[in-house]
Amino acid sequence: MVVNPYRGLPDHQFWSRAVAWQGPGQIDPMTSDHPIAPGAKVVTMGSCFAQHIARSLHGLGLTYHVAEAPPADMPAAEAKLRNYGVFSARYGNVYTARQGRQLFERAFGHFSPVDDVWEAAGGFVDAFRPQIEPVPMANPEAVRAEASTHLACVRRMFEQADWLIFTLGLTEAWRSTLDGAVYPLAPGTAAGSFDPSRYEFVNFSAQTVRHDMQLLIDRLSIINPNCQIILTVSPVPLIATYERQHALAATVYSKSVLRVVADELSRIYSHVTYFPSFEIITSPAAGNTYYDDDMRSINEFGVQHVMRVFKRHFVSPAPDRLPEPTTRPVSLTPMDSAFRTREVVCDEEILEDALKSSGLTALRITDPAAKSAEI
Amino acid sequence: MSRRIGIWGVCDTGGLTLALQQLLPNDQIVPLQSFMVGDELTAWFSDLPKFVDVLITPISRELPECAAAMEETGFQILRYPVTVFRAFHPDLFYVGRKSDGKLVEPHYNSLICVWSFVNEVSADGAVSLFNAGTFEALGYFDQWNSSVAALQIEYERCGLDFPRYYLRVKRLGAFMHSFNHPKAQSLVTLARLLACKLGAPRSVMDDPVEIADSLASMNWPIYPDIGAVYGLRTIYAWPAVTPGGPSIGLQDFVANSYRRYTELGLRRDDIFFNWPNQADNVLPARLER
Repeated sequence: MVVNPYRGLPDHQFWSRAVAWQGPGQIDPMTSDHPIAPGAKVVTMGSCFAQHIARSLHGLGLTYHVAEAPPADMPAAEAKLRNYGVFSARYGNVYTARQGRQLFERAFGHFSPVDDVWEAAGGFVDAFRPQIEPVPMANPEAVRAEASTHLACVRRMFEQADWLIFTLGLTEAWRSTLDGAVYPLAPGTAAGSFDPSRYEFVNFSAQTVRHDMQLLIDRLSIINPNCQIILTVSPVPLIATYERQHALAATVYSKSVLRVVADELSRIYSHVTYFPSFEIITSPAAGNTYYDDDMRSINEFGVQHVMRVFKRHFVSPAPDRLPEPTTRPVSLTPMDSAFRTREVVCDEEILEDALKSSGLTALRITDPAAKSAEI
Repeated sequence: MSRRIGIWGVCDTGGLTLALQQLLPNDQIVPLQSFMVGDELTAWFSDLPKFVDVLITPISRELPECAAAMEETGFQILRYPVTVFRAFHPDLFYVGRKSDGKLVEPHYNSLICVWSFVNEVSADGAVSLFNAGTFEALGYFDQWNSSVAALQIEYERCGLDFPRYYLRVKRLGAFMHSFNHPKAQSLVTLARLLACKLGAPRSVMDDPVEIADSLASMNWPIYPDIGAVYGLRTIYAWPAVTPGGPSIGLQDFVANSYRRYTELGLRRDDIFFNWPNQADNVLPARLER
């Protein structure tokens, strides 16, 4: 007897049923549930796509935990301008695994980068979050004082989080030749100045990304053993690559590495879950409908789809949901006779109009000559 | 040899005729119409073989008893499903009146709007019910799978390849003007399957076919919150009240509907809908929010 090992497997394991057949916006590549308890502190970090997730958490009834709150006397407008509340702590975008690991190490005093302040137009900025403040500070000391306060908040964030959602964005980065510190932006773009003797380009391998992530996860587990981790890969393509290759090829490399590492980590650690944002946005079933015209920015429909799937698997189902009504018409009673002909059949005027709109006239078959008539 | 193929459809007759004429250029495709009943219909139908070699007609249409005997003698009748797909337009209902057994005209009505009117909800209150929370509670976001399943049954009854149809039209995005009026390329896709049944090569599935969209006037908006679920950017825009006029938004639509229902004297105890719905279970609670 021939045994087919795929026989009897669930629908979601077959492309035809799980992807091709699904309605637009209905693809759900996640196959397990991990309910986040009400009140659990959820923190996010990662690339710019992480901000979409962060913004949506409150709407799902989850507690988006912000460990770095503005001072009580700071006006709301100023707090917004200074990016309070945009991130769980004001670290800005964390694009690479190395950046995530480095943030943790800096927060807990394991690493103190040498080149930490960059000059910008009108003052100085934090090299690790050069765009977090709207106006550069007067001197490097002020930047370092602010960074110290910030890193204390980061420490608290890691210690207090019940769930960490880390959106992996890139493998490419710029690194200090002095001590290996990585920066979110190339020196000379938003601030600083490019000096090839002080900075080098790096494109991390899968092995290095995995190592960085394992260090981060292991160290986080020591200080906060109950923290669950959700890893996802940003579907936003690279805005540019410094590799001498096509931007699309570089994007596929970067995302592939991150996707592989996320998968490996979710297999290694029971408290690490992979969430398929990347698949939802980039799947052939979505076409490119979830991208804006620049083929890079994710539009609201894409974000909504991602968050629908997130809600389905990480948030308890809504209690007031009613079962899907049947789409079959109600059984007809004599009283409903009007529907016998009108349910799907149009009335005569509409039929005539539709034919006329097509430039056609119905054949009058009572005319004996009709058989050979030109239509 | 050229065949004469008659299409006795519903309002899809024109679109199917035009599409099939392009797909089967060696045949002559002719639209047919008949609103006869009883003996007149039987006589008309019995005469069909004198005028056409093949009849294409919806499976939902009851044919005269003589049809079976005519098929046995070689008259080819090809059945097709009338496209009914509610997922994009789950709030679109036909409303009947128990007192006279007639449908409220125009036939297209919003369940939310009708329910609000007969339950003496203000027009502003009705407008306020058009939101994602109401739609979710009414199950409007969850009708894709059942819509597909219902259509699949019809295709299979007709012996037509539903996956080929469904997988193709799904890629068109919003492939329906309303729950029972497909867009032109949806009809073209159905015509491709019919052409295959009539012996055309499989290449007709991919031959370029362009036809006028004769059913565009039967448009009902895909509500924005429902469109978003399917990745569609849509707006509340109902067909113009006067031919050639501008389409109307939600508030004007509700106001116009209320005026019409007032003129008709629509009452809660005198109406029925053509599909089951959760309005009585859901909408009172939504109004209290």
